Amino acid sequence: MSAGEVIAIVGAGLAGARAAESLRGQGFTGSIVMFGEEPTAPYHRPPLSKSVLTEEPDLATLLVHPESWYRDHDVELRLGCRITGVDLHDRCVQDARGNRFPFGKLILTTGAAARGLDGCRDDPESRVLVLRTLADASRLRARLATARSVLVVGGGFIGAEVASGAVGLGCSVTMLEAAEGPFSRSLGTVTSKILADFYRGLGVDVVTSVHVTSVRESGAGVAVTAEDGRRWEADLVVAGVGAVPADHLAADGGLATGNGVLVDARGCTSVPFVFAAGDVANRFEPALGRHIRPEHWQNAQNHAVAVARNVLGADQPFSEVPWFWSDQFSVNLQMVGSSQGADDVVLRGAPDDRRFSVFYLSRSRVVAAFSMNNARDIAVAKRLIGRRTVVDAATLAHEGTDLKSLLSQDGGKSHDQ
Amino acid sequence: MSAPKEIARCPLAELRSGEGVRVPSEAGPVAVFLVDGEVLAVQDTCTHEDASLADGFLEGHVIECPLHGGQFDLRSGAAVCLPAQHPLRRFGTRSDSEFVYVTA
Repeated sequence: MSAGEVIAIVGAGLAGARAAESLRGQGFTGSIVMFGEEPTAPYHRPPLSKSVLTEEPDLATLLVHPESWYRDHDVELRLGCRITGVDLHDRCVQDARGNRFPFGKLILTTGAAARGLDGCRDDPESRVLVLRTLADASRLRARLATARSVLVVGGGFIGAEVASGAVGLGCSVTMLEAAEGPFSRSLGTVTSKILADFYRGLGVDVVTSVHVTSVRESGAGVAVTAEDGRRWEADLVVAGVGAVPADHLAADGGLATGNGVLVDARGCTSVPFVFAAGDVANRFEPALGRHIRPEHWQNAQNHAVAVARNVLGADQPFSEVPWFWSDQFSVNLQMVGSSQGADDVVLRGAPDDRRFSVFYLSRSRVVAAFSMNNARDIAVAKRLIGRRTVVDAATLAHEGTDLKSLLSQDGGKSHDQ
Repeated sequence: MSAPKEIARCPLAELRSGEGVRVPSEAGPVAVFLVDGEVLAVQDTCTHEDASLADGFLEGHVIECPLHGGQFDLRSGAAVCLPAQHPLRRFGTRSDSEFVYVTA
């Protein structure tokens, strides 16, 4: 690309910030313009469902880069600016006021939006809340400070972290999960049962197979009713029922979409000068041979870094085993890979000691692993997955097996030389 | 230049190949590793967030942070994988039959 060219980045979250950083890091000297709807420079979201729920954060510790970084690296940061249209023919984006901004290449890092419940209102007084943005987290913190009872709808990671924060503040917490157990879809029944027992042991009332049909605010509280007639009341309802990719802009502009913006392994969309990265990108993952759309912090930043290089012509496919962590109830949980299609599950360690790992195998290869307070097993699992190492389930299950030794089999690559 | 000063020590018997040992020092905690018979010492706290690299995963000369997966080359201290971006401080070492001495 010539120095006079403009790269527009729509979406000022972690992926957008890392994309801009990567472009400058690769020596791009043209213009970079980044658009963000929120009034805040790109920030890290993981703390929002953890420490930010109980104490007001120091914004500087949340920011991906200090605001001065954007000036120092000649990145034009347009905050509070909602892009409403992409014109692929004239190569420009348009904001809500009708201003048009030309680009040579475009990177979409628009992320995802929290899925709400039918009773959700976009109103600061609402007692039915979602958690996605810094503003959401601040509102929730204020509510939690005075709430005595909280209903968490959705037994996923956001729901569990909110439950952890609320229990820590002395609230009575009920978790309503649609499936047969918390995380049962992503982690399977063995792990789901362990975690349900873990939460119950900490005082959370975990209720499963609940299909919420109505959420109604009345007086100072909220009532939630399920399909089968069961009913709960609380001071506050928090919906942790997933996120939807913010791909309308791409779809309306004529780009191929489907559970996000469809991109190849380089991050390129159906149009050669438009790329997408992070939560919004449904990317082809060469290691799995299919498209995936991880909504994790690690993916947002590492994918964006790689895609930005490809915007500049690097032509390098991105491949990474999805990995994430969750800090809740004083334990560190980590997950790597995807348990989809697993035909065997191996438990190592003792759930009662709050230190264990679960390995998911498919045709004698590890495809995913989950751990509580056992990050080293995840580090090994990540490599076993990436290298497609054949492992024996009985060996894996055996307590005496040094997991690291599994890596040196099957032609495991080593840095030692 | 003055001679390097001993800031920490670690019993040789505690060092196992592929594992890290965390030792306190006046310069903050130090992580000591044994890699192919070579002793390497770096600052123990990850430059990304507060985590102990001695608890990390060592493969070859690369240590991976247990918390968020950032990686560093122990020989240079350089950050080699995001989210780590800033290098680790490296320390000198010498050893006798009983101890590894960390120097700065």
